[in-house]
Amino acid sequence: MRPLIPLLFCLTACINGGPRPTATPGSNTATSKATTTETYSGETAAEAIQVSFSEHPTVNVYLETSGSMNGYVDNGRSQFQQVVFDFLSNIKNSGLPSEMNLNYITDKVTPKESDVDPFINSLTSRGLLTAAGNKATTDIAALIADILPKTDGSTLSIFISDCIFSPGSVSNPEAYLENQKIAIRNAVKEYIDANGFVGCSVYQIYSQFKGSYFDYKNRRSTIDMQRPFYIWVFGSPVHIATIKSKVPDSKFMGSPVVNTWTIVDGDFSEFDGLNDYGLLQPSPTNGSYRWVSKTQVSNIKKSGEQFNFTFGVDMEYFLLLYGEDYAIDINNYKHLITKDTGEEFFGSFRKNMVTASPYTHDITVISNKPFAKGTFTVVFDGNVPNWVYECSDLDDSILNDSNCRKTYGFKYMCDGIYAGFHANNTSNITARYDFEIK
Amino acid sequence: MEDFFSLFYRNNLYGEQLYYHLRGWDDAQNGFVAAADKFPTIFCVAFGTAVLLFLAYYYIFNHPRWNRWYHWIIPLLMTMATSFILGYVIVTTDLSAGVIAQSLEPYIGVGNAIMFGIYNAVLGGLFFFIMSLLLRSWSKNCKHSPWPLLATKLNNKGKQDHE
Repeated sequence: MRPLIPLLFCLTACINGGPRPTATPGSNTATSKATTTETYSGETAAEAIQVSFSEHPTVNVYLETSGSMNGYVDNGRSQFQQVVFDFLSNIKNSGLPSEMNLNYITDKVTPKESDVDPFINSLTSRGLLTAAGNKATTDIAALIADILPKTDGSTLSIFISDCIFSPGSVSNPEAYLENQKIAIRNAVKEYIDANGFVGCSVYQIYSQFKGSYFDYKNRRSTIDMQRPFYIWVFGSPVHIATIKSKVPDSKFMGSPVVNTWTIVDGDFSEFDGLNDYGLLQPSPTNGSYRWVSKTQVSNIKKSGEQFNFTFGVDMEYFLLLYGEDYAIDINNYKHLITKDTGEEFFGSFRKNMVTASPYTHDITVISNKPFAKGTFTVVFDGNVPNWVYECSDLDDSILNDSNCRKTYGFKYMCDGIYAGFHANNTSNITARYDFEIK
Repeated sequence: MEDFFSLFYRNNLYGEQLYYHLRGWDDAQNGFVAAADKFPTIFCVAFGTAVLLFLAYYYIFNHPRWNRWYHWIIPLLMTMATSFILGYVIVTTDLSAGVIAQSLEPYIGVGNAIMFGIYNAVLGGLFFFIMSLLLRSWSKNCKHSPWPLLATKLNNKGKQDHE
């Protein structure tokens, strides 16, 4: 396992050092002491994307303090408080932030002192109720729309919440959720349009919840059970990757990370060294074909019942950013037909066991019919992970063992974010693997 | 240029992975390293042996008592034996030295070495045979070995018809 820091450095260096030779000379924009700003071009000059980030961003933390959060806090003794205390402390100590601003958020943002300990551990359910703002309902879309405009390449935002939508007394909760999804999509799209090369990552964690629970109709009940909460990180993928590297998912204290999901806007293929891939030689497991070059293959013959060829991919950065389960989920890969449309992709992943290989994983492309000659492109365009749908609920009026670990309306939030990254039904390609079949 | 030499060996008679190894496959680079390409050497030795033995038989030794087809077989077999030994030894040496790329190693064994030796022997023999067909007519004593030249045959036939 190669050290990950050089990879992050590589990404930083790639951006600092500019793009591959397609970059337009002299297109770099301002460079200040703390902020590095570069422009890299896409396929044409008209598609040039602004990439801007600072090495040490300002980290703004937004802890939701609506009434529904009361059961998570217990004067520093709850798993929720331990996890958040540990997570924020690790980020602060990692050297990443230039400063960390801590805020409570409801329908308004209440800045707090910059010391993490009192910020999180002094919270009690009673203290929560005395904090400023509306406690009765949570307008998740409004919170997102509030946070994202304050997030860019030099500002990282961390949003901590139970992410439970509160339709309250509305007559049609599903329509409310749908509207929330649309509002979230719009906020995310504006965020992407304003910044470019941004991402967001969410951690799902369980904590004991002891207190008053407000269901989707705002009816109160007292519960004492494990409930999920979420930590969202919005900002530059470089900063998200740094956090993932310095605060690994497996090292969370208090309670483990159950699920994660990361989505990024930007094609890593634009950066040398972050998306290395190449055709492997044929073998009984790789397929029967002729290796012409790293990206050229010919004479693909039937191997068993199917036609296949195999290429190696260096997924070190992907694994860091997305997590292994998501990064090697073949459903997140598509066979690109046109610029924005892909079709289902059949293939399989396996770890590359060759010590000297520059690749971490092998991807076998499988087809029932002969491959057509020409360009064959596989792209990574991740879906909303299944766990989101499994952990989402549409009726939380009765909480029991079967649904206590679900979050009301959570899929609408994730679908909204996903839609924001795929606005106007476009694809969101994070990596592409081009081959020429001869 | 390396593609020229590998052209003679691009087939699946002795194992595709052995072909990639001999062409200089490097796992670390996921590509071929020209410096590790063994085909130029193998080709030059096989071809050179064929040329040397052809010259030796037809133009240096060139003995009138050694112009039967069974005499011609000897340099042919010597060419083939040299090419076989060369091919076999190169592969088995790499096998025992453990210098074959990790991704190829499981698919290369002594069987592949023998098959490659045989292929190289046939290739060397073919070079000798082709040269024997095309370039023997200037040999004083052996130009009718392994069989008479076509021109001589036609000439003899014409004489018989005339008689």
